[in-house]
Amino acid sequence: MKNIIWLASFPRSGNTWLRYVISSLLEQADAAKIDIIPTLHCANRKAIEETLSFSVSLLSVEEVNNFRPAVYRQWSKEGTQRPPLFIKVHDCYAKNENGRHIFPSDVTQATIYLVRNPLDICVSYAHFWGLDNYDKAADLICDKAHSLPANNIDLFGQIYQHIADWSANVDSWCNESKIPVKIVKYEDMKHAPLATFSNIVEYLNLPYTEDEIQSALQHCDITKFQQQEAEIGFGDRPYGGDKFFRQGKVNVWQDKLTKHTVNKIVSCHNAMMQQFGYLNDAGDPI
Amino acid sequence: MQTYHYNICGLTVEFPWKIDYFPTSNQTPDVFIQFGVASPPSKEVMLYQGPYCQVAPNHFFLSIDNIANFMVRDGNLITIEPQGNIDTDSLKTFVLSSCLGVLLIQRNLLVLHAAVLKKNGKTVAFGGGPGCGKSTLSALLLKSGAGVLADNIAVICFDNKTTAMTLPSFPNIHLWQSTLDKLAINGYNSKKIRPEINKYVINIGADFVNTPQPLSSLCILSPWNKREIHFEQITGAEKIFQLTNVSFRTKITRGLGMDQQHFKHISALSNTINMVKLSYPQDWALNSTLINHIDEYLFK
Repeated sequence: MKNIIWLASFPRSGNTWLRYVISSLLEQADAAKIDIIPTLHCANRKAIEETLSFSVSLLSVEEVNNFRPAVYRQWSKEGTQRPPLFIKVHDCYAKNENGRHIFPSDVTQATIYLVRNPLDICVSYAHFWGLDNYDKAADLICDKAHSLPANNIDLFGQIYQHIADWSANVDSWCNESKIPVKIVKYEDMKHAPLATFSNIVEYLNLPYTEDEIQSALQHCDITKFQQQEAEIGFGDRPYGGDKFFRQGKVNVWQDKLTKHTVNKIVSCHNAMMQQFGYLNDAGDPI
Repeated sequence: MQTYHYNICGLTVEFPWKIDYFPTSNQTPDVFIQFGVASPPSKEVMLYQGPYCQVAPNHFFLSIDNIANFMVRDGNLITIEPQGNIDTDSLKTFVLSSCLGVLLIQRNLLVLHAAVLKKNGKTVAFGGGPGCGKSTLSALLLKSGAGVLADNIAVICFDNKTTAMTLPSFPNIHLWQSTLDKLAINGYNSKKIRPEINKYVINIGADFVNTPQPLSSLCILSPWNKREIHFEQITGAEKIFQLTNVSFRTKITRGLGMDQQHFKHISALSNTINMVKLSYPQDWALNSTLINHIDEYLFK
């Protein structure tokens, strides 16, 4: 049954915000609580091990990737009585060593892929990892081997995910994937939230009115999440990192990044930044 | 074929391989591990089917691509059907984790994802989800003078209605290479768990506690991203929730038709032990502070 909706993105592109809004709609809750993680994560190690019935810590990364399609098919099978199964993804869209797509098309209803300006991601990512300068974050988003977690002792209860560099991640889902993908720009979510989220809801054929979407957006206001994070912390943030729920502003890079860091990112991601309108005709960031 | 008898979780287990450092037994085997044909249960009796396993009362079948098919029957038999040229260490690894855990559930024992350590005469289990730091904490406590009963699978039986006894599993702990390097654990033999995995079996020798011990506390490990180390008492229905959460393979337990027994066990355990939640930062710089807090709160 095609009942999985992948919520995919490079990290720090609005994925958690989208998850909370969708979760708020599904549960019709009065308020979103950040200690209740909304929707499944494709890398949730506990859920994966319960499904496999053996530990992934006994397997190589390649072996785990070979098992992943069957895990997601099982989740699809077990989720048939519910609304669509929303699953968060940061991996790039790729095949495993067996030549099978890790995210199988036969159980996929759709994908929402969130794209955000990599210059703004750079600022956010530096704070997320607690890096002491933005250039190090630029190196991460230009690294073709970029992965989460960075090593085996910082698993955060997740399996290894191959993120790849920003361009490869975006290109894999938006241009190369074999499943239906709706591309949503983070900047549109910020500038016109009601219209953008309504558009997502309509695309997914979810039965929610504009009033309900507006209400969900109010429940998921970032200031409310910031207050909760200050009180109880947030599990998806690595130790040593800054706040998970930051300001999420658009074009914050203009006040933060040096010319050197901007040039590094633009040079690395020129083609894909052009495709999504983050560069002007002269190739300069907008 | 030569066989070897070892004492594991209070049982004499017959293996087709020699296993270094495991305590030997001269008793008649309770459990047999052997090579043979592993087959799934028939569809008529099957209660759970996962992508790689099929489960019925007293019958668990696991098929792991390129490794082996395993069958666990009646709480006393594990059959291994290797695939291709799979190495012995890989087979041992899966037998001593997934298969043994299921066999112990079939024997009506309570199996938790937890490390169990003894220090200052008190035995404490440290449970939590995968990656919460059980093995690293075991190694830290081992370095601080604790003895180890179990690293990952805690097996609990009830002597009577008021005492939960935890059974010693294996004389080893599993650590990633990077953790081993950081902890600088010396004086123990170690070996890779599987040739292609950078994780090691550390044989802890005399630091293994090889007799059953009354369990005094269960500590739920809950890493967070704050600097504080915080203990919180778990009470009421939250105890049942947390015990369910750290129970070994709940879907398999249901497939074995053992869910009612499992609920009785966790209800009994919730009434007999102290339960706390430990929120802590996974920060190597704070390890000694963490151990001091645990000593003070749980082992004093």
